[in-house]
Amino acid sequence: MSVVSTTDVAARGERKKKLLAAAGLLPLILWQFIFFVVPVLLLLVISFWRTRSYRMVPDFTLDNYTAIFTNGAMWRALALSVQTAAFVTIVCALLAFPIAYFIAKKAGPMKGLLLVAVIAPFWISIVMRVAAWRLLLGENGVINQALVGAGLVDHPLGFLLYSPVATSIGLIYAYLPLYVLPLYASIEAIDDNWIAAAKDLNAGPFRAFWEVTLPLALPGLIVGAVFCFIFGLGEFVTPALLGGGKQFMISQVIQDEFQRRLNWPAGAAIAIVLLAIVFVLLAVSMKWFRKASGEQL
Amino acid sequence: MSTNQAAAGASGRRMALGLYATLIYLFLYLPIAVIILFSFDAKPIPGLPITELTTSWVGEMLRDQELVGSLLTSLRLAIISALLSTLLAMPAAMVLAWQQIRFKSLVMAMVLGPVVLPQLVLGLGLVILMRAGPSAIGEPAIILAHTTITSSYATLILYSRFLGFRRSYIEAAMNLGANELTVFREIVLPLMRPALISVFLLAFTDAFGEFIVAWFVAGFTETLPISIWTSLRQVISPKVYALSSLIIIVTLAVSLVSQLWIIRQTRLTNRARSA
Repeated sequence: MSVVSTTDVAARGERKKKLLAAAGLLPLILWQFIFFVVPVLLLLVISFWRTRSYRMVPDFTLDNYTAIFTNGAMWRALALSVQTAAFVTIVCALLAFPIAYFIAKKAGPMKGLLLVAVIAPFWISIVMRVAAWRLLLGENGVINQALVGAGLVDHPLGFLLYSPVATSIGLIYAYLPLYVLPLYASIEAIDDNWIAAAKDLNAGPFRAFWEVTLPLALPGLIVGAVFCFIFGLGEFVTPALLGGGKQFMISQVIQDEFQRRLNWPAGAAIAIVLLAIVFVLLAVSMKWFRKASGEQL
Repeated sequence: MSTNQAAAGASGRRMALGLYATLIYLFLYLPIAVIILFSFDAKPIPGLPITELTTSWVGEMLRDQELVGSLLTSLRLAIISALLSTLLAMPAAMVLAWQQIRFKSLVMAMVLGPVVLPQLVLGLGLVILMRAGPSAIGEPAIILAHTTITSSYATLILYSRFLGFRRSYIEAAMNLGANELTVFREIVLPLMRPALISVFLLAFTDAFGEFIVAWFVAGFTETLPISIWTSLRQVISPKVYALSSLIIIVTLAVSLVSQLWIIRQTRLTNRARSA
């Protein structure tokens, strides 16, 4: 009798636990289902529709997709996006590594403050950061005036603003903090004794870096690169305001289809292609990440 | 001799690294300094050379109904989004970190997806969704769009905090007869307070500054990033720089203070634990 009642109590406790868990999880799941999963599915659905005189017509056609892959302008936009994102990722990695290393290993008690100071500009609204870069890069901007004033160039450099160069600078500025953060975390976790051991075994500083520090920092490098590249690929504000509009990036093409041409199915198809690229990248990089962190698959 | 050389090499590298770090910090803060400088430029169309400085743009900016209106709209919407996303994220992160659930990776993918989803794509999807409820376009749509993004980040951060949480405290309280509610109120909430505050602040800053998704679903609502975007397409008034400077300084101060406070709090808890 008493045995039954204890299992009864245990079962009731278990049920209560499950109920509480469901109650805690359900609101967020529902929210993300309605406002994240459903919108993406809707995009997928209308990417198979047609547009007739600026109106969407339900259909099942692959025309939007074939149009993407046969359109030269689309390829150029995609190529520009991939190029820019790759360039920005590489530059960010090169710039971020020494600073992350400096903060993690050499900054001493200033560590926390220096790290926060790197991240802080990331929290400023993107439109304000872009506004600042326009002041810096413009034909009569701060940088050109300084260069002319110093006698380094005769005429202001026109290519600084409204060009892919400007877009890249703006993106590097935006994503550098994002790259420092994961790199800092993985460099911080490297035991100094391992580096010291390598040096005791007669490895020079470069060899110690190449064979100890770099492989151990690899997970951070990968996470930073993934975020940099994915965000760079889909970025809209920076190329729209700094890029000049002669060469579109893929996000600008999507926005153009949606808002100017009012061809939502075509825009949705490009958006789905962009999503597919992001998804494949994520899947591949997860594998790399697991391998780099030494996890068995 | 060789140790001398090695020491010289090490200190040389250290110097080079320090110099490099200085350059990076200059790069990070140069645009901010420039925007603040130009908000004091006396000319109506700001540009170099700056011959005369004035503080009158701050006053002008505060009298600009439209600009102040969009600032207040942004503040209000961001507070609501941050509250909503913290409320959604906290219980969910707790369950995800502490309980065995089925289809965990599917749930995680769904909850964290908006972090990696290009924001433009989310904006478009929401535009299509809004066709089902056109009356939501404007402020409600902006709130729910931002909550979708920020609740994802919030869940990610709180999840890792809950993973590191000492659950023996909870077991101890339960053994002493406390029920779930008491445990939550007396143990979980106080210990998680720094994390919750930081998540709220991050969600607020993100929602406050977000442009692209808001722009798609805004209708006639003007948030501050939207009105700055509009003015960036025309001749930009120094008032916009003055307001931006003000907000940048507040943002920097809040993020510096809150992050440093969190670092200190974690250090204190760690010390209490090891003692």
